[in-house]
Amino acid sequence: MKREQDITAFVFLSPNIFGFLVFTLFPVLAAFALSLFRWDIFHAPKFIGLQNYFDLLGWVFEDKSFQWIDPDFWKFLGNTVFYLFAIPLSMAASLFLAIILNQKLRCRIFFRTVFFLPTISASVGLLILWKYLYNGDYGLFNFLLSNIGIDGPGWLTDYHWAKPSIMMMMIWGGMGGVAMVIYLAGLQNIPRELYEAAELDGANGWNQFCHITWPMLAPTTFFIFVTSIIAGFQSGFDAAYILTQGGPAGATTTLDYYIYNHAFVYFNMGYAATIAVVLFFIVFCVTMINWRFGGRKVHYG
Amino acid sequence: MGKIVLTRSRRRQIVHAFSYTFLITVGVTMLFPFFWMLITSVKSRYADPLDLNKLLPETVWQISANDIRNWTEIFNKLNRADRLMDSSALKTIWTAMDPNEQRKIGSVVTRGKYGEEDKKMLVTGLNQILLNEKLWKNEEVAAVLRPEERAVITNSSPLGKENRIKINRMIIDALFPEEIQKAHRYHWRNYRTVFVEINFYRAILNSFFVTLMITVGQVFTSSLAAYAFARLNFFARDHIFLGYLATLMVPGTVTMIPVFIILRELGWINTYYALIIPPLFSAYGTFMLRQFFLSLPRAVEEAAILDGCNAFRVYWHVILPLSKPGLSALAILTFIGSWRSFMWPLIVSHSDNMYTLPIALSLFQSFYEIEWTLLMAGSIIMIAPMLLVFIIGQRYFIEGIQLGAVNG
Repeated sequence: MKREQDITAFVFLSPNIFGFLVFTLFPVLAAFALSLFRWDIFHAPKFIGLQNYFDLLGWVFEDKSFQWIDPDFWKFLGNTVFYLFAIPLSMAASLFLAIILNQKLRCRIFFRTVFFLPTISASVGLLILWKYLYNGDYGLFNFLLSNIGIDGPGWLTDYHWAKPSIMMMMIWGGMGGVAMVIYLAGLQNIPRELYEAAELDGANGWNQFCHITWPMLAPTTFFIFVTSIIAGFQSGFDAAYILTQGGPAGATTTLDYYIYNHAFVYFNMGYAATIAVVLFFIVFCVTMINWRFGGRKVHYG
Repeated sequence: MGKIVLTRSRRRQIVHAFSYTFLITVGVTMLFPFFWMLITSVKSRYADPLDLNKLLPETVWQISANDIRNWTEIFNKLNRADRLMDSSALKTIWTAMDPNEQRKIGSVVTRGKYGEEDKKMLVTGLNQILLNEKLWKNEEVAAVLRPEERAVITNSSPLGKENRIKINRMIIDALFPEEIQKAHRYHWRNYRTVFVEINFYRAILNSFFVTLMITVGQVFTSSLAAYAFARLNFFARDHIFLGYLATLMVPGTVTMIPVFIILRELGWINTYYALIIPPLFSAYGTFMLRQFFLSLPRAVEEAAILDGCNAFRVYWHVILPLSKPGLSALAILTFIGSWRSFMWPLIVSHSDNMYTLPIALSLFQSFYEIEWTLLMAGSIIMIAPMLLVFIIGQRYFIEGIQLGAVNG
């Protein structure tokens, strides 16, 4: 009987397991292996041990000054981390929108749909629109700004504005999206009686938020935060490719774009795999830290 | 003393008023870009997209570059009047052209017969001429313009978008008599142009085919595996499931390079296999459907098993029909995800006939940077199917997201 179930289960699982092994598990292991080689895809791969890791993470003292061997990597890692700061902002906006939408209002579904539009259409089509909106010479933003006498910057071509501009676009697109929908579900799970009791005790709206809504939503917030961070480390490819080509001067290159360039533009397969493996470790460690320190503080209601 | 005591209903009214104001403000910020996109996509190519006083399309006299019949008319007229040879401006245009193109257009014009291919070529050829900046600065061309018009050309350096449009207009006005220009308000032809340019219709077909295959395949493989995880007891079930969950954390770029190499070894690069097969297996889909199956009541299944149904019949006749909401949710998520997927198709497709819509669109925008009307038409074509699927299946979609999250 048990044996029979094993066979049945195997048959059910086989298509998915096959894909899982060939397109996920094996590639993960292969990426580790590949990171030990130098390979331009056209010639035979050459085993070089940990050299790629030294090149990526190592440093030298030249003229008595500290220098990374690959300063680009650290810069692009910095860019990626910079984008992560959009997450708390975007989450706060999502929560606020969700609380407002959670009231008994007319047209709730309509507004939810409208807020969700950017998430649905977030893609090449929408990025092209933003490229136009942000254009320094004939973009809509600078045109509107010029009407009130402000000479707007080249949003995507100015070194200091490029990252915040892309961040702003991410927040615009993300605040009414998945996070808001999950928050809405979380809010609906909070028992009404809690608020009624608080109201009898004379608690105002802010107090109710601090002592009921926020603590009761902690697991939801934690879930959104963890998944957003994982996704955040892999963000920015489409925006870099379509809007800025990673520029100006690498200001908007994220690790994903850097890996893509090394692998499929310069054909440094081994080096690209090395960056990918390091990215994997970063995501893994950050997620572990999140679970360890965030997971414990969360109050599961 | 002066403390204002608000009644409960009064307070609620104020909160609601604030809420509506806020929702409408945010809603407008969300919708305006889409609205602008739609409006721009039906404007004339020579209209100024920045002119917010004329936000809505207005009637513009122009030679509709896309109207093939019109172009042949123009050429007939020019040919008959020998203007092609007499007008020095046109002669200059003629000599500025690529010799190859010259030969082609020349043979078409002198033959006086136009096949479909010839017409297409005439259109693209003439468009290039009209967009050729050097040509506008040419003295002989400038000679056909009025003095104040000429001033615009000589004074604007570098040519901005606005001047470009203005000059284009002027040259059209100067070179072509009004009766062969056509009045248009809504330029739906922009969409036709987009379809015809750079294999766009092919890219659309590719996108539909690839997306449908991935959606059907992913729902099928995920539901099979999810059923096993949710209902069958087998060796190391929970360990295997944990393994699945763990891979949700692996960045896509880690597996991307080895998968590319595997496909290259198989000779699958630039084929539908490469576009469809790797995204067919989804750990997330399996996870989501497992959660859904676990929430189904077991009673019907047990009855079916007592009646002698085997696991496959239970899966096919009991579980799947009961799971329509869950399956729909996954299907919609997958459809939208693969419709807009960019990085993977970019890596594995290398030719026009394999590009999906996002790739075709991104190439188009890098070549035709100033053609905003066409770019917006292309973007609308890309976004529309996703919106449609979302609006039809919104309920399932939202529930699906909440299911994946809340039970996680």
